[in-house]
Amino acid sequence: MVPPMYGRNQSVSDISTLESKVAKLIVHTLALKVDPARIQPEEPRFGDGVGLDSIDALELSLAISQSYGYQIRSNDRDIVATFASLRSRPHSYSKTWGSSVTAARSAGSRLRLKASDPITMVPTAPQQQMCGLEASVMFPVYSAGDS
Amino acid sequence: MSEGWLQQREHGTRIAWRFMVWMALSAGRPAARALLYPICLYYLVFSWQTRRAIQPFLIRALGRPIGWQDLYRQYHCFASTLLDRTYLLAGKASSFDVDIRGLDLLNDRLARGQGCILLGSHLGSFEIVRTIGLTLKDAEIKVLMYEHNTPMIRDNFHSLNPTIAETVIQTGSLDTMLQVKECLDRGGVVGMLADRLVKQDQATPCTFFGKPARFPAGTMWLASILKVPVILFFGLYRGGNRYEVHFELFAEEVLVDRRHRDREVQQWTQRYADRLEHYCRLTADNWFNFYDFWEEHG
Repeated sequence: MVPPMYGRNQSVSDISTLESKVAKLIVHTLALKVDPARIQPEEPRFGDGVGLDSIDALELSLAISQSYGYQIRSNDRDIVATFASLRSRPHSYSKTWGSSVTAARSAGSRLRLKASDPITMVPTAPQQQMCGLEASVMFPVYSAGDS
Repeated sequence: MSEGWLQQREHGTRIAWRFMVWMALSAGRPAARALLYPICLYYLVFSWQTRRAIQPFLIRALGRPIGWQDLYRQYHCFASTLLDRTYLLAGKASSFDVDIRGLDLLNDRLARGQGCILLGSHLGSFEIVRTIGLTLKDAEIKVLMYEHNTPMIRDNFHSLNPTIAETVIQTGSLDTMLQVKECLDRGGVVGMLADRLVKQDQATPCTFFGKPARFPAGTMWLASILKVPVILFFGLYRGGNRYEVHFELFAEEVLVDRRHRDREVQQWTQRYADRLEHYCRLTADNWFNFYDFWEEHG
């Protein structure tokens, strides 16, 4: 299994530590003449992936296998795609109050929950995050619906 | 060495191509070869750009002034190998007289389960070498190819022999070299041609026939990362149905010190260019880089 590079449970500081580690790894492996701190993870490095760039990817994968013991295969589509920018740009997913309510209701009906059921929710994500808000507020309030 | 070949369009139409393939397979090789005469004559007269591009090479390789017959030979040789590619892909390799030299170099290493890089060029036919590959027992053969500029030829040959498509590793994607590494790790052979620059390739300055020419730097750098033996190959067309295939050990391992990377990559690439030059002198008419190789016309 791959250690998830940017899992949900990682704090911001974990991510930046990992990022700086990876940045150092890149600079060292590819013998770049730049300061690792100046590597922008969002910047696509292997843009067109022609010629030497694909060799860079090979070198990087060999370095990762040495440092982290994980062998990157060509059919690991996600990882190869991750190489392309090292951190995929965040995408925005617009959500409305209505869609959250609908989602909570349909989840409730799938679980056949009734308002009278004694349920305890243990949300594992803080409510400042969208998934936390959905799990700890929307679901308890709206899942049981009208039935 | 230039990227000039990328700008060249394929000549002819898809229908003409299909017709030629159909003709070649149904009428047989002698009849199809008879058609090569008018075709080559046509190209000799009408593709002045190509003619202008190939002239400096011929003068240098032959070491004398050249005439129409030299140019014609060049076209005829190219057309013959292209036609023969049709037969080879259609599985009719037995009708050719192939003289193979140095195959043990490859066989010994494959028997030890050692993956190898086969390094070729656009001198002669690589298809004839691939045919030998199919006779190597249990060896996985892949070819690293840039096929984007000849889609018509590619599609035609792929439809002729669909299994060929599986043996091609396309360049230009991020995982290209990962696929190369995986094939070598399985004890396979990866063939690549090291005499043409693809856009954005890093080039290294070499001397070719006494004149400066740029060669791709990536090949030797890649070989040094992969740490496998590199064997040169040349599939030379010798007229009629005769081919001569040469295998030659280039290096057990291409060692490049990272601290002097540019210099050492250049030295290795120069060695390759020197061997290429040697074989070019043997068979100048097999040179299929029909573009301004030395970038002299600006």
